Amino acid sequence: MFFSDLRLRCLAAWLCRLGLCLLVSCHAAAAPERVVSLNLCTDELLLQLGDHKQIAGLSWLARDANLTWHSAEAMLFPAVRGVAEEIIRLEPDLVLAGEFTTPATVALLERLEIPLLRLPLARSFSEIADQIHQVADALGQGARGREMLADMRLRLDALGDGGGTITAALFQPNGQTATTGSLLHEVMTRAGLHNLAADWPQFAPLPLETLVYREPQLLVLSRHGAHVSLATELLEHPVLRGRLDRIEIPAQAWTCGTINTVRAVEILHGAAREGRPET
Amino acid sequence: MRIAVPPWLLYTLLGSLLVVALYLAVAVGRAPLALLDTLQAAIGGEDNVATLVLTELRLPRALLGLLVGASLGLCGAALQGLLHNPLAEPGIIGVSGCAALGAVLAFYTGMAAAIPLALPAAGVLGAFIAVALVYALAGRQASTLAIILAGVALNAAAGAMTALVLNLAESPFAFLEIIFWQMGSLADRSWAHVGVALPFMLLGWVLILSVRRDLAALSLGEETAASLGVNLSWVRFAVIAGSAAAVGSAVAVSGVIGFVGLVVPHLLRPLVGYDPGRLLPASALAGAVLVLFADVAVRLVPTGVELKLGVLTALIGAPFFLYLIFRLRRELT
Amino acid sequence: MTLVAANINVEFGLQAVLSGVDFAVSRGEVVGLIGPNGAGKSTLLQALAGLHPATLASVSVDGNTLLTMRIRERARTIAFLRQNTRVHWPLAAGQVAALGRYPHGGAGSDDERVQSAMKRVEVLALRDQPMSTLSAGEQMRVHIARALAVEAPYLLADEPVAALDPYHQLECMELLRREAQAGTGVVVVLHDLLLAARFCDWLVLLDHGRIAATGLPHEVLHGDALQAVYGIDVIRQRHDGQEFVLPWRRRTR
Repeated sequence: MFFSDLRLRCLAAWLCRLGLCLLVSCHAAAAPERVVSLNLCTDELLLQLGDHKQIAGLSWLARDANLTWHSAEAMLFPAVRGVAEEIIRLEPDLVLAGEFTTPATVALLERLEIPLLRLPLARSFSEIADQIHQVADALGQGARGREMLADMRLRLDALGDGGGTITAALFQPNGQTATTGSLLHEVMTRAGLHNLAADWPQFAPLPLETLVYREPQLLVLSRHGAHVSLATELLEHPVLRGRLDRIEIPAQAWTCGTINTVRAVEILHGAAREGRPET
Repeated sequence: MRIAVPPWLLYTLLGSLLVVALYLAVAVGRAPLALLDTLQAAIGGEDNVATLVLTELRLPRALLGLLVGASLGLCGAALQGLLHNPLAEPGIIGVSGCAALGAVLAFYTGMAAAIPLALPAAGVLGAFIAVALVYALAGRQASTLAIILAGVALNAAAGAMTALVLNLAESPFAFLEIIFWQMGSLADRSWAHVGVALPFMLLGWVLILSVRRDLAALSLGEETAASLGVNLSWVRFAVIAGSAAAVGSAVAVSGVIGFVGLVVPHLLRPLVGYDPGRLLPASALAGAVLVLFADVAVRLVPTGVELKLGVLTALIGAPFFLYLIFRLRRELT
Repeated sequence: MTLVAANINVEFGLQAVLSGVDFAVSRGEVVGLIGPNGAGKSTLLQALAGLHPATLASVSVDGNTLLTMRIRERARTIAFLRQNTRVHWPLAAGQVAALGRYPHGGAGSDDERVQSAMKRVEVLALRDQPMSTLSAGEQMRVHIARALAVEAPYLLADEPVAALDPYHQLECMELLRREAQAGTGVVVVLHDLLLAARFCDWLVLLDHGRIAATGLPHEVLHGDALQAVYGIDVIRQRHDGQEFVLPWRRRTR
């Protein structure tokens, strides 16, 4: 029974892809009931947009409270590590994955003709909007998706145009910073901050000397939990203390590009407007 | 081959090189500083971006480079004097590796965050165990083969356990930081690092320098040295504990920087008449010079992530090591 | 004015190397220590130098045991010369000789005491040459210079002439004699019975860790004990009013 259901759904999906949605109503294909997500970001989207009864499995990262605000909720579902066997045992009718999911696993899923939706890392709010739309549709939760998009638009519009008068720089563990074309850069810009490190090469760490020398008025920090490491020790360097106003953004807000990222913009916007640091 | 260099000339030369190295260490960096102006401003108590970069980033890094380099050079010379072997060097015989293991245990368990001195202390403890083990295994008879094998075993064990600790550490960044611990770096160090390491380093230096004439007498063998009034147990203890203190604390704040203790004493030996005692202070100075110049060099190489210091010293030191083995091979069997 | 050892017992593991040995040397005399290989001569010399912790209380200088003396004081009182001294680094002859000043606080090779010691042994010309380039005989003389540089009242030498040619053998023994005449108490381990006869004031014959004979040279050398201990027959000779013996034939054991 399950098998014929699956076949039917695959057929409908395939026909939709052929552009025959006009002839075959895609909505007639029932919403997926066993969705497995292999990636933290797709986990969050799934938890935000899907019903609990639709979720068959989430990645193990979703249980880490340092990475996501949905960790408590994620505990209700089986944790998956990405091994193909594990996934197949859950009998998914839709798999959500990221662009870096193991190619071998992806290939196997495709061979078994299990519907797979791959989402790259969102690099801008418009991409976030696209992904919300895509996932909502795939889950048959179109209404919820539109609601979320409207909320996002509302909150972002409420912030207005910051004006970019306050200079800031982002400093993450290991000196990672926000560069032009990245989501974090857009977050800062929408919050009304002028990102001093925008010109820095992507993925290259920002040296402390350069950071200090550019004299940002606001230092935006983001940790990943309280665990000790040289990477996080760098954020405590004496040269950063005292002179610079700092604000810390919880990692859960922007590890992934979702509706939660708007919270990061709101926090920064608040700090920029008041011109005072928030702890 | 002996080159007769009067002591005053040698120290003047080394001293001048050190001054140049210190200058470069403070002058070279990402932020373009007008050095003299900034120095004046800093002394005058002014507080701007340039003085901040100078006093909180460049100065501690330069000073730490000097301290670490001096410690490594000094301990290399001291260990070679005690073990009668030109290949004895903190990195090769496993002392640095074990120091790194101690430091990693203290750091990633959060002990060092609670008690800052726990970091260098753990490094010292690791180093001490290593030196004592090497001495016990190969000290008296000082067979090169035994010393090197002991080093190989210790390095393998310490390296594996360090990787294990880092793998099990809670932070997701920990595992990649093995590169820092095993290749060493002075980047982004602060006065706090200088502060915790300094007491142990000074203790180590005092212990080792106090027995420099004894090491010279030890050239004649243990029996003759004892008949000349050398207190063998004290000399052994001073060199072992002193090396552990200086190297252990250096590794705890800058990772393993290898080969300094091999290259520097070897190059200086003909200039000090092969006297193991005279070699000590000269090696300390030259070690500081070497590390400082190398640290300037890593800042000049245009890589995205700054090159690790230990990579540079290994690029120089490893071929040198091979060359030494080749030259000494008849004596090593 | 005497270095005295009373009832020396030294064991290596279960084997007794020295048992109940009494020994004494006064300043101004040369005492020869003879005996077969393995008799314990080197061990006795080491004990006299204070190199065996267990016997420190049994050896005394002018009434003070070595135990009560500090290690540097001991070193200034007794100079010790080993049989084969291996120099671990390519030091120059002058540097090796200068190490003899260690008990006094150290000095360079241009120190006048070091230079005078080197002059007495005729190695001053070799001052700047690395030890490894010198012949065995020259190296030995440098080590003797090192021992002389200590300027200690007692000098213990373990087979100093073993590697020397006849000229330098005689020269070395004459040197030791002169040192004794200048007030040093000299103990020298020898295998050469002729040198023993000519240059020593007193002889001690060791066998298997015990004293087999002790006395004036001609007493010990002409006695039966000597031949028994060494397992040889000797012939007695006389020249210039001095008596001496020469090993002639092995005894079949």
